[in-house]
Amino acid sequence: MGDDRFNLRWVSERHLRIGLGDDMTNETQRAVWAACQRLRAVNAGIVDFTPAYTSVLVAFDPLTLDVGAAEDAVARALEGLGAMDEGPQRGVEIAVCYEGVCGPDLEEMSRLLGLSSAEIVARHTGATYSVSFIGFAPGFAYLSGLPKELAVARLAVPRTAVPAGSVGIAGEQTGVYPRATPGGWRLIGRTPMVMFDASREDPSMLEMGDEVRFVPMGLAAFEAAMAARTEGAR
Amino acid sequence: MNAVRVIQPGMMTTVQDLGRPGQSRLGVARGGAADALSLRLGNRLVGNADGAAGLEMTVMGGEFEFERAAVVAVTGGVAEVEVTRSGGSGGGERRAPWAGAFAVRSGDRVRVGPVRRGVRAYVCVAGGLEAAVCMGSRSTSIAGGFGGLQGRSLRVGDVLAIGDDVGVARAEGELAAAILERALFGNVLRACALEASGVDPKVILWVWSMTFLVESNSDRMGVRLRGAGVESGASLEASGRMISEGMMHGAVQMPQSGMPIVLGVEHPTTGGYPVVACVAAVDLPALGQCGPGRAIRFAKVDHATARGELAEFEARLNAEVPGR
Repeated sequence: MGDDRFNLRWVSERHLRIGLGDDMTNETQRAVWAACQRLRAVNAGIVDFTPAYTSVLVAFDPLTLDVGAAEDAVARALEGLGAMDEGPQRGVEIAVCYEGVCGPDLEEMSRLLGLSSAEIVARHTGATYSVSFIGFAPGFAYLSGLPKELAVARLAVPRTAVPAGSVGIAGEQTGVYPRATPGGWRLIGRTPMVMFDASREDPSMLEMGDEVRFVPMGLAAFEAAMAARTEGAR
Repeated sequence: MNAVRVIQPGMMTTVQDLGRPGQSRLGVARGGAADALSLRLGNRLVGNADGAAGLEMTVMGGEFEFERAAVVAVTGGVAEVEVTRSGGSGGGERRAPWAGAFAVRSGDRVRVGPVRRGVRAYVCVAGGLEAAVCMGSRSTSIAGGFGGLQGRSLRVGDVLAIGDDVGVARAEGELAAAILERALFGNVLRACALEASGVDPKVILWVWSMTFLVESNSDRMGVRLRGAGVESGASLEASGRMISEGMMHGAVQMPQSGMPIVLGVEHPTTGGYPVVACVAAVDLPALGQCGPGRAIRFAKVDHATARGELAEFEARLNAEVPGR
């Protein structure tokens, strides 16, 4: 059911998938953001919703779910959905150190891409990215907008430990690891900013729809910022 | 002091409640007790609200000392429960019930043995355990490293305060044990089918007909399955990865390895592998009790049946061991 801007499909006895397009386009992404904004105002037993590139997954409490009423409420909320009502976008700057140990894969990438390290950094910091959505792990932002010439294959053998704040590239994606984890992205820099902190009022530094720029910082400034963080945690 | 002290944390013991729903847009899955039924039932036995925080032990049980008198219940996977008295007069040990409330005195230790059936056991204490509320919940997110006690599993010597929201403990031990027996340890998980484009129909047939074994690298994030007999590599290659989508607790994912992963309570909120089925809410507690070597298969139910069987289960639960 639905109009031509969206379709609704129950994917479990308690999950309704709102499809907003077949391809990852800017228009579809903006429709996802707008849909989420509208869903926040719906009170039809919605327990949670998960935005992605082309869809929003809505979870209901199966004990109180009235299928017809839920579909109606969601369809009503999405009525006349356009790309125009996504609201103001925030601009967020992320300070990144691309020097020395912070960017262990820069040299190798330079060989693979035929660009100097300085050119890679200039292109990475020169672009504006958009947060498609936060997903996979707490505070992990799916960023779109990586310049095509920076696209590079993942590491053949993933690292067993990638430090929190690492900035990496994998395929046509770039992103920041919010937490130390194993990972196969090629690491070009590191931010001292804490991307996710559950004790903050806004735990995630980034939210869907944000416009993101990476701003270069020197190694000395990075180390000072990391030291200040440790100090603050004491 | 009104507290519980960890004498032995076993393999992995964490503070859990019923999780933090509503945070998926920040990449945070609901989390909470992997077997929410056992935590709720344990809380009901000791007179707590369903969502009070308790301890979730994994495989090896654990041992905990009470620094004041309290009412306790151990639920979840089946395990021996013993109460021992540390030193002083009136020492010795006594057997305590599984799935029934019992009283401990100040200085008593509750020892939960290895989990014989299932994989996770729960200790609920009248008053609930105190831990900082983080994003609306006291539950520990192992994947995120927050919540519970400093976002980690418990260690020897850790101390958790006991809350003072104490209700009336219940005596329905046998009923509670029967509820858990029925709900947690069968080898069939009811699930709803999904249309997954790009997945070979042979693979779908295989998922619905195969008896799988649970792999040892299963955890709160996902239950990994192994089954014989599908020419998986070839048939799955066509599916590849799809555009990342929102994921749900209980989703049966088919990664390229060809072996299904059933997403657990701390699942990644989005993922790019095709999903062929989703375990029904009524069997999510049983999923949380799936440990290494357990044989399981999926039984297809439609959405209305899945909701109906959950409603029936809850009605009987509320009649037999009412909530607060």
